[in-house]
Amino acid sequence: MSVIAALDRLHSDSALASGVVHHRVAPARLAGYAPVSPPLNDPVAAGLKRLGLERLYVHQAQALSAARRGDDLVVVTPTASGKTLCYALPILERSMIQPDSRALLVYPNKALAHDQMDELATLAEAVGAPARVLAYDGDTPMALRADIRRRASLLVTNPDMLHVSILPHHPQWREMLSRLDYIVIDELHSYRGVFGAHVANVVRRLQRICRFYGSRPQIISTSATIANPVELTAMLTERQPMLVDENGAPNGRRHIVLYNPPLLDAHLGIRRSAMADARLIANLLQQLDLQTVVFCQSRGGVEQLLLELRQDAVQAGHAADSVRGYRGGYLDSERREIEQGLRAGQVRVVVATNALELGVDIGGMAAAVLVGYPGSVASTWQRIGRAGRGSDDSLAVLVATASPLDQYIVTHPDYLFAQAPERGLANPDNLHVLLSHVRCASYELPFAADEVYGHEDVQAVLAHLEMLGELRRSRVRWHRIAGDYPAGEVSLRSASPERITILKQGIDGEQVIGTVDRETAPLYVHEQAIYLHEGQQYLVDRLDWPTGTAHVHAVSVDYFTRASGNTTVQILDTRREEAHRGYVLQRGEIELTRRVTGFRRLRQRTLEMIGWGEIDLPEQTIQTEAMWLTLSEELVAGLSDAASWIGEGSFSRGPNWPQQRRSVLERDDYACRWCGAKARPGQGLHVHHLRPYSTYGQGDDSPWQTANDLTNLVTLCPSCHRRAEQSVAVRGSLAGLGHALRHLLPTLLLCDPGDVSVVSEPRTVQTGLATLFVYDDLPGGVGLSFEAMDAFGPLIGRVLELVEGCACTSGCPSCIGPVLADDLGAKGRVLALAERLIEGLS
Amino acid sequence: MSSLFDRLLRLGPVPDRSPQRRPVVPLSEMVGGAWIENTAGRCLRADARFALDYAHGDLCLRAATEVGATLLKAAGMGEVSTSSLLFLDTETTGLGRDAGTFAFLIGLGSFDGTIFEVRQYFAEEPDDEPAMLRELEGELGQRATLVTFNGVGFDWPLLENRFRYHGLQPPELEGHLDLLRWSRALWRHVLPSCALSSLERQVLGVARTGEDVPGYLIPQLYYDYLRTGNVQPLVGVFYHNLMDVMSMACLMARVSSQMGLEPEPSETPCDLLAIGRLHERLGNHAEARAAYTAATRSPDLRIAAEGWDRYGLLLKRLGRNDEAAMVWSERLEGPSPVPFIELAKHLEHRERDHAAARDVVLRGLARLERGEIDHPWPDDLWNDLNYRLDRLERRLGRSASSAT
Repeated sequence: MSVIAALDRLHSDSALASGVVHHRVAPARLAGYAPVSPPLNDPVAAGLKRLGLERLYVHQAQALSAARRGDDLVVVTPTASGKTLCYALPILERSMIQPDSRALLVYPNKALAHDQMDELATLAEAVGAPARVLAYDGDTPMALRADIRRRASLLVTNPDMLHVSILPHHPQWREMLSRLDYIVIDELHSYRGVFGAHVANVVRRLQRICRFYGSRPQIISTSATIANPVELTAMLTERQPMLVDENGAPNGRRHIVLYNPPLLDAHLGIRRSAMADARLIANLLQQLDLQTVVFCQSRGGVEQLLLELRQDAVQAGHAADSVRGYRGGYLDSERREIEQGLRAGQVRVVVATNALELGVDIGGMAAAVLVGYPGSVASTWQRIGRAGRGSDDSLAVLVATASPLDQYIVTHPDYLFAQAPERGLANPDNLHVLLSHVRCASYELPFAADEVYGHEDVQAVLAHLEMLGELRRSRVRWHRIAGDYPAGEVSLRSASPERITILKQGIDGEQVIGTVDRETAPLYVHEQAIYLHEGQQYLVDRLDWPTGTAHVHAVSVDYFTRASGNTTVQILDTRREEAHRGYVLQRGEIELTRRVTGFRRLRQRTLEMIGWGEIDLPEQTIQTEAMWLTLSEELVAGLSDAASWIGEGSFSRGPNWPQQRRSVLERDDYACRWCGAKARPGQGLHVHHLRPYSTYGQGDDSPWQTANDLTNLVTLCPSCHRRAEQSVAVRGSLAGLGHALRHLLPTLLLCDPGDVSVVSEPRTVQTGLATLFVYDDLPGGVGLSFEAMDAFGPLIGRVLELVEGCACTSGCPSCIGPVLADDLGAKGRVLALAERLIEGLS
Repeated sequence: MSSLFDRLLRLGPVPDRSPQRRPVVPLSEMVGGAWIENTAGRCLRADARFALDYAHGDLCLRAATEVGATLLKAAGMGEVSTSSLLFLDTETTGLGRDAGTFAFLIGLGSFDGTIFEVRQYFAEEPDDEPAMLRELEGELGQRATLVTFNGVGFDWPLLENRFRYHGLQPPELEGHLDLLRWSRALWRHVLPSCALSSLERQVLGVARTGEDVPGYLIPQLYYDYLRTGNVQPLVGVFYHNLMDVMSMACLMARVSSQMGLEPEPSETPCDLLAIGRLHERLGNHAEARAAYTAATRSPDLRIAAEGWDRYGLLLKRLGRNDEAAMVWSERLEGPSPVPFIELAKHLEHRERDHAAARDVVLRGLARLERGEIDHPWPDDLWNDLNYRLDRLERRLGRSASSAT
């Protein structure tokens, strides 16, 4: 058994063995079958038999019985448990009795939809159902659309298509919508956060139109294992579904290994990189010929590891394309080819993002390697579930990164194995989202003057739209008079509707290689950025913001780029306030302004900075929900008495420092800019860096030109300088606390990494006090940071636990974030702050 | 805790123009109409009547009643009289086929004894649409054959959708004559555009007054009216719609007289070949022959040559091969390659006179070489004729060798 051999190697390999911190075996499960009553009719039973499906698993039988009774239901079983049959059977049965019955099947993405369409068509044909399974999505040629509208009895689509094309053109879909008996929402757990809020509104609009045509379809949903499938289904569909979660599908024994890359420097808490060790593990699995899926957390990670694993494969004498990448941004045709290669077995390793987490059929892998904790228990099990072929043993290895969350997970294995998975949340009444969809809905059907939509007072929302001149209230209805096409302006997937297209310059002109969100484009495809695609490096020559295109050409360099910027916060509205001793917790709405200002070129592996540049792109503003922690002056003063708050600061300030210093003193007329004090005998003046010098990078290559720019320098007297440095230190501690807190949030409340962000301000514009903001990183917010305020006590408890327990001495990326080399007191200060916060809780 | 109202305000700036509807000059006065009520509600109706000798551009409205039968017959509606036609044109809130688009003004025209009457139904509020549709239903109860311009593709499906949208059954039509299709068939090759405005200028001699508004502005004008209550801009929309309906009546006459090869003012664009092709497609062989024959008399030699070609090909299609061959053999001096090819085919396959066929091909090749033949791809023609020549030579060689 090569899985056993792989485990032996993992436990004995000199480079890897010390990293194996936990090994658990999930026992094999036998199949559980159940009869249905009345039984399947003969052609259906015979058809299933021909496909090798002799008996129904428990969950399939339960789903069929519930659907036959007319219930709405949600099916919660793991990957590859035969979920499709749970909704396909009732639909096909119905279509055999009533050939003009219609069903609408919604999948989160096109790849999955096409995959499922083939499976459904095979099923329909096998059982002899008169059902025509057709897909309707952005790829459907215009010429075929009218025909599909007429002929499809099972229409396979995605929420975006429903939103932008089907609902606004509902008169053309009248026949389908008036005969709609089933709506299927597959992979419902993927509709969380802001995407979930959008999809919930699309479902509201769909049901509104169905009511108009006199139909009331049953809703069958499927979901990965989450804590609250029924609640999330109810949020998304406004129906109370029956829960079907008794999994009857068998699986083989599954070995799960938690792996923490060994410490290189215990003092600094530096570990070997997760990527490097994942590469070793993936290669070990290849030596044993185990087909493997490697999940990375980011697109960049996928490309990086792909590059390396390919080199390794070629060196080992394998074909370069036995290793493939798979992520969003690849073209559909490319993805299909890779899926096919995986099923056929020519592709031995696939390096993927969460794009492969959902049900796309790639066959069972022998092993899964997770580089980094996916951010939720639910996702982790989805990814682990990719390994497992029939009743064979399988192996999954979770390789922890240095992030605080990963470190928490590998050092608390029960969190993963004993804890219930997270809750899925969507807030369909998020005002930003709601307003967008009320616009769309008012276009589709005028709102009646007494109509109810969602939980907010939609009549007030309609009155607001009238004020904006978009609607007009007539005697009994609200009519849209804006003369626009609102669905075209609303993207379900991100706050910014448009995407940037990436064009590669080749010998025969430009060719599209992928796309990136406009919101994240400044980070990845700014000019001179290195963009990675399918393992190839591209240099961005030009980012044309107005036309939404990035022009790139292939290069081969030994560095990558990382963009950086700044964020400013303004409090718009405080909705709740809790006073504690020494600090205040508040929540409400804020406005964030983000600007990407520059980037650094870092050498691969050593991360040494070899250059930098400026980025000139429009700033982006979002309004969102947040909770914030404001420290009182007394608390800050108390802390600064108790600990060393001023960094030693004995590093070089670059060759032009003496000259710049003189210029600043001259400019400021030899007086402190804060208190006006002049230099006097015995007390000279200091020149202070507004943004600390050290944050510009270290070593001889440091960009002292920018750090020592006159706009970053100011003349201060020694006592004001002390206060300024104190503020820098407070900022550092708050940022350190925020770093840990942000990473640990997912252990207490459901959110995807990146849904919540943290920013600290030494003095806010409004209060002048040191404040830490925890905000929903999505316009309008989804309620996550609000929940964080309720969980503040336990959260700080976990922060303390993590920071205290970390192996480093003065702070590291795995606890409080990167610390300056000369700042030995950072970790102590964060601990002191966390302790004060816990003591102060009232 | 801020209110829903405050939170909405924070989502974005609200322009300082609350929807104040200005004092309304009664619309009924501005456009000379009256409110009518029916079971579905109320809408505004404005009527305009024209004597049959009223000249709309170069033509009198009467023309449609005089020559319209030709077109109706060609369209397979021979039994329909012009007095049972309903000319229809809608003004809508957009050009899409989506749920948010509806008709707010429906103009209907009909011949009634000695007058042409146009009735315009208008929805002052979107709520008035059902009443307007109910009126349309009543009108279609009396006259169920529609005449439209692009109504097959746009106006009628839109109206059908709106009937269904309001839970009403769309009325059945007895026939639908879409003048856009006929206009395209006739003038596609001789006019830069077959939009109604272009046809008005080029074939109807209609010039609109300054009151008219361009069609693309109409949706916005209606929305502005809903927002402000200002009826002034709507006057232009009513005028625009009225002109469209009247132009349809005249266009029907013009299409008809062209198809009937009636004498027309010489400046009227007229594509005799298109008329012939149209008749041929409709199976009206006598009319097609007449049109092609007329084309052969054209002073433009190319048109005349194509007239002959079409004429000959029509004869061939009708199985009158000998007559066709006569046409071809008389046209061997013209600029068209068709007579050579067709005559060679005739001689080779029907007469089985391979030597004569070869002579025709050789003559064609000689003229092609001298640049006397018009063909868009002379190389293809060259290959084609040579291929034919080779085959004929082979056959002649075989029969020569079998004879010796």
